[in-house]
Amino acid sequence: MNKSILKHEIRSMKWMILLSILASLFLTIMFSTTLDSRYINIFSNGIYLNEALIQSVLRDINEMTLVIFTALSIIQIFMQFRSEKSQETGRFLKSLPVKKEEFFKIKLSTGLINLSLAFIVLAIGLIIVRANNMFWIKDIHSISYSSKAFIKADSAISLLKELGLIYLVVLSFYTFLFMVQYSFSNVVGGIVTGILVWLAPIFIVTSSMYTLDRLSFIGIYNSPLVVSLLNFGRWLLPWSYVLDRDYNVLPYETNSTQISIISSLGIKYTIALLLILINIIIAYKFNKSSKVENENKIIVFKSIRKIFIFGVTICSGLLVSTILHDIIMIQIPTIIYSILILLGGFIGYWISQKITKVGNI
Amino acid sequence: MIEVIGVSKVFGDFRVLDNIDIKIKKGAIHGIIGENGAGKTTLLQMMAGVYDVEEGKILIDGESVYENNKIKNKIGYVADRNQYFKDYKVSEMIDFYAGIYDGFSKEDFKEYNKIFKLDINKKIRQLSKGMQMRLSLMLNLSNRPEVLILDEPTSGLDAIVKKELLDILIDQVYDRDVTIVISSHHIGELEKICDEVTILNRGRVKFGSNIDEIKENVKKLQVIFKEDVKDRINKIDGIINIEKVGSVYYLITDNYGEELTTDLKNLGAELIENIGLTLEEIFIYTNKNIDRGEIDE
Repeated sequence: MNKSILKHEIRSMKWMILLSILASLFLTIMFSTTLDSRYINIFSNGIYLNEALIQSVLRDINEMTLVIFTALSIIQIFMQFRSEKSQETGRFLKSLPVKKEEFFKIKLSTGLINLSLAFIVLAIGLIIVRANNMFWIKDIHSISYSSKAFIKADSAISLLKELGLIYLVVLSFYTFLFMVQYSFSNVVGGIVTGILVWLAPIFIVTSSMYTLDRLSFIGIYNSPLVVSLLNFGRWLLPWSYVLDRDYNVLPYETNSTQISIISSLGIKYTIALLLILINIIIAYKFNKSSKVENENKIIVFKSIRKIFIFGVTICSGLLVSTILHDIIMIQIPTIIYSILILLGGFIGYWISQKITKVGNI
Repeated sequence: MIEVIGVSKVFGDFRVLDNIDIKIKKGAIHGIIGENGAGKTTLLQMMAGVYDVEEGKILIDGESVYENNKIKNKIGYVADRNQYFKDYKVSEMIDFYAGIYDGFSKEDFKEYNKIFKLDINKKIRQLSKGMQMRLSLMLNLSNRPEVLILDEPTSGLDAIVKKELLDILIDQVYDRDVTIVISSHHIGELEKICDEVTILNRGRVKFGSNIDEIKENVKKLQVIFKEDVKDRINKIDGIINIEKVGSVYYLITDNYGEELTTDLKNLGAELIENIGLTLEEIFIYTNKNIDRGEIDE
């Protein structure tokens, strides 16, 4: 690795590294505080509910972790790409005796290492906090009707498995934004488009369902196809993996108690890992084909421009359908409904055409 | 040796360079002259390996430049605009270069800084345009390059530093046999230091050889005819500009030779006198969009 380029990347990331570690410490403190409040609660209210304590606290922390690290990934992408996307700096870097693969390798590594470092700090923090609280959690586990299940759910391994999933989901989002940056010449434009594209599949599936239902192509409530498509839809947004939990109901005399754990961890791990791999491979290919000559074009590659136009057209039509269905909620004849969707699609097509033409002399 | 062989460059529908052929000998100072938009910067960026060469070839020591680290390590490239990281200090930029170029010498930088006088603790963003140009020149000279590509290097420099720079460039060629490719709007400066020049016009090579050869071909002639030849003179080939002061014609030709002299004599020329042209005048006349049917009186 070229030392100067590595130093340059680390230099632009130093505030990012600090911010990520602060975020990890903040989440650790939140985890500790929430556990403390549970402990204090026992003194005032006694043990009135059997629950996996670590798991239930993790449920709240996980959501916060996902949101915070998603925001950090966005900021990190901005910090990593902002300087080299300026025309002069881009040309300067290109004139140096350093291959673009080298820039790519260093940029990706520093980005992944920073996020990994933050997660390692968070994992260590959570493990320490858990260990410090085990003296009273163990007592609760030991008097529980189904101790074994609670001990297993609250184990350090379970905690690390859940954190591992969040880590992979965050990395899949980060590598996706990283990949999009190589096909957009504008950093912010790339980030915004990246986020929208990340959300697009689930939006397209759900909005297509009620649009088709409204247009009487598919009966949404009685079609097995629709049900299976909607079921499949939950895999299209990795963010939801962390929120998607299974509830194991355990018998406890007359009451019942439950342990909620993130479901289908294996599949989710596999999909997230595959996404990371695919994003990196595509980003590498984009980087290899990128040229300084394309710096004026908003979307660098011709094939991506076509996909962009197609995607924006479809999503604009479906957006109109969503607005009519969920926001305005007025009864209009199907023919007008269809015309409005087509109009939305046309406007999307027109705007995306204009955007893709920017910079094409 | 630098070889530019049949190079063309197209941006969208716009052909910036069209079939350029240039050969630059090792240790030569080669000037690139052209109007704004003639394609000078694009050509220099292609030589520096910034732009890909899709049509034709650019070879330095027999190897193509684009994505070739070995060759790029031998090149010092000074761009026409500020290109460095704005939040870096000059000293950090020196360290950056030292880590990139094998031949970078901090000692050389110190020596050059005695002439260019730059505060190394200042940030790039705090430097004026001229100061940034000085920095770029010092960094690229300290690389000890074998090929130095300079795009408008004198812009923003004061007269004293400009003179010092031109002296340094000549010393580089003399001491280390460096090949220099330089573009400038100050054609007078190029005339002083260049062995050869290429005049670009709308992406094509208008003239390309050593300055004396160009001067040999492009001449200003003072001609007196026996009678008025207003209607016939513009039919002679090789005349690119005609001016008439009283009864004296001033002709600019890019094809001076016996044939032209004979044609003029056949037209009734009584006196044909050769007047010297500066490189700047040659550039102006050869780039003027001349309507040969018109005579300036």
